[in-house]
Amino acid sequence: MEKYSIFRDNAFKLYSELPDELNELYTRYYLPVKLPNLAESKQSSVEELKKRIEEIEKKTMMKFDLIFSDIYELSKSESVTINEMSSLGKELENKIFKSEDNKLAAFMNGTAKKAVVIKHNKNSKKELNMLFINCSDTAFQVLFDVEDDSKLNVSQIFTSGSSDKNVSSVLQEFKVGKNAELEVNVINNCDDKTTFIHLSKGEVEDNGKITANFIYNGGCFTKSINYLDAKGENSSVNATEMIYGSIRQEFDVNTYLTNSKKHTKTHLETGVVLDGESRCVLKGYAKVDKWTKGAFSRINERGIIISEKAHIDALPDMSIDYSDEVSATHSAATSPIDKEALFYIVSRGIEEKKARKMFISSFINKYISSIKNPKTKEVASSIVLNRLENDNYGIFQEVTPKDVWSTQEKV
Amino acid sequence: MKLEIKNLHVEIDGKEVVKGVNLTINEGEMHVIMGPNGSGKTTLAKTIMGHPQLKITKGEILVDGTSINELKPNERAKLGIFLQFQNPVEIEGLGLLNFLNTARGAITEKPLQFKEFMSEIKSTSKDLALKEELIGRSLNHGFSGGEKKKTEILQMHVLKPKLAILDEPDSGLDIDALKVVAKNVDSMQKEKKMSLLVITHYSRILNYMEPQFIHVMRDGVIVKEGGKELIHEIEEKGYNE
Repeated sequence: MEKYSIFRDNAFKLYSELPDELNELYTRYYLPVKLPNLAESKQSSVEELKKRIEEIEKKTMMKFDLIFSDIYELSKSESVTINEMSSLGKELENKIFKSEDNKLAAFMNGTAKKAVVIKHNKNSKKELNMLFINCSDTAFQVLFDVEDDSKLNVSQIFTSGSSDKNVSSVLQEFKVGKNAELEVNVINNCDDKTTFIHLSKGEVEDNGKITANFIYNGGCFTKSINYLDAKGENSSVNATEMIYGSIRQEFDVNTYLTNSKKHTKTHLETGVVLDGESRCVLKGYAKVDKWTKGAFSRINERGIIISEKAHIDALPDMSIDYSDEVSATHSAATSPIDKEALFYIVSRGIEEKKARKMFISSFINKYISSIKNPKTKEVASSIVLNRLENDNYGIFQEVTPKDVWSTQEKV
Repeated sequence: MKLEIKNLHVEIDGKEVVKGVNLTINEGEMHVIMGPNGSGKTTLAKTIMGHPQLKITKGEILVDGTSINELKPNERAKLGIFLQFQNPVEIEGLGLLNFLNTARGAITEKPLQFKEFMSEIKSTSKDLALKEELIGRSLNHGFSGGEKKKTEILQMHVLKPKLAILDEPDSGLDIDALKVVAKNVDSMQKEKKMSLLVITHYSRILNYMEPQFIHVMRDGVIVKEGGKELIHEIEEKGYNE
């Protein structure tokens, strides 16, 4: 543990010294990570954690193949081929993120305790469920190596390991080979004392595909930075982000898409719902490189403000280098709940309070529907429905077949 | 259901749009309001339904003798009033079935078995020549103009109102769809003794319906009233004479 403490101290130092992101506008709308002082933070016991994991598995009806926790040894299913990396620090720092690229990556590399490389080929299990349940500020590092011609569907649930202050963080890389497909679903359902940090970097080779769905529901503060690169010809990146905030939750969500080769496709759809005094800074940046004939890039950011004190800064941005036949669009729109839509619902006999919930739920469902894994979709849907009904987060409700999605699929 | 509108004045953002309308619709009667664009027809329909942005400055709307001026739209719907929207809103992500089931539950307060509910939906969709695949989709999302209008009529069947206000049910419909919708509404009105108010610019839909009363609205007031013969007069002379 000594080794990690030293790393952590250095990491804090690095975090305060490294420069911000270079984009001037982005710097202006930048929410610095508020790292909690965990010196007196109460940790859970291993027994308490095991009990909580069991409860989550029961309620979500998900069996986790990999469980990451700082006080609980990495739990893994025998059906998953993984390589644990024992050496931390510089080796992974260079492998996943270079510290000069991003100060947060440097911080997270410094606090990293466990790193896992998941190698996936045509014969591996097609679905992988992962649970991140943290009690301190330990970061986890995961490298996915999806080999050529293989398909993998990953669902990652983030929850708080203790009821006291903690940091839930992960730094991951997705390497998707030729003709390979990866769907990764990240669901943050941490409680209101958890700071959530998510950094990822994805690269897709020729004809490969990444579908990334990020559901940011919990945590007092969320920092997310994702670099997704359609690196090979005909490759594609589809990213969806759903952010639901209330009370004083803060979100700083940055996604960078790159079209590096010909006939590549990148697409980012982001939806934000903010209530209370919550705040969200949303930065979607698309870069279309030179000589990328036939490239397509789109960024759409949509927000609904429920209360007067909630605030969204939506900043879609694009950079297109000289190239023929490239299609690139970006847009952003934020509004309160559509009054005409509300009147329509209410005119059918539904009370206004319920009508509002239906409208918000429908807005959120648009984004959740991009999750292809039906079980994960139901878990995401139940978390959101619970929040709409009970105005809380960080709690898992029992997933029942009565969910809206099941009903629709029956038709 | 009996609807009485007495000397109704309505404002939108301080501008008077409805300027003293009087209208009585008795149970089981079919009335038609015709008139040029901007004459206040849709505002009148939305006011009856209780649109929050429309302010009644004078007059009363009575249902079976009781004023509904202060009732919220959902309370009016529970009384049995239904408005078919001229431009139905699209709500992506809100399943049509889920919406209909919730609305039905809110109005009737009697839970219906899923199987029974689906059977009713499928049968009505067939009668309306509405593609079955649409009922599994989001509310009006990506629907054509005609599909939206048919979906409104499907909602009317599910909610079984006592008074239905159809605001331009004919717009966006081709001739075949127009016949289907008009005949469907006509038969439901007769079968259920539903009071009906149809708002339209054109007489075409009235060839397949049997209204007893025609009202012509212009500049916020009803300027002429009569029977079905008034339709032919409008067809020949237009609204200006």
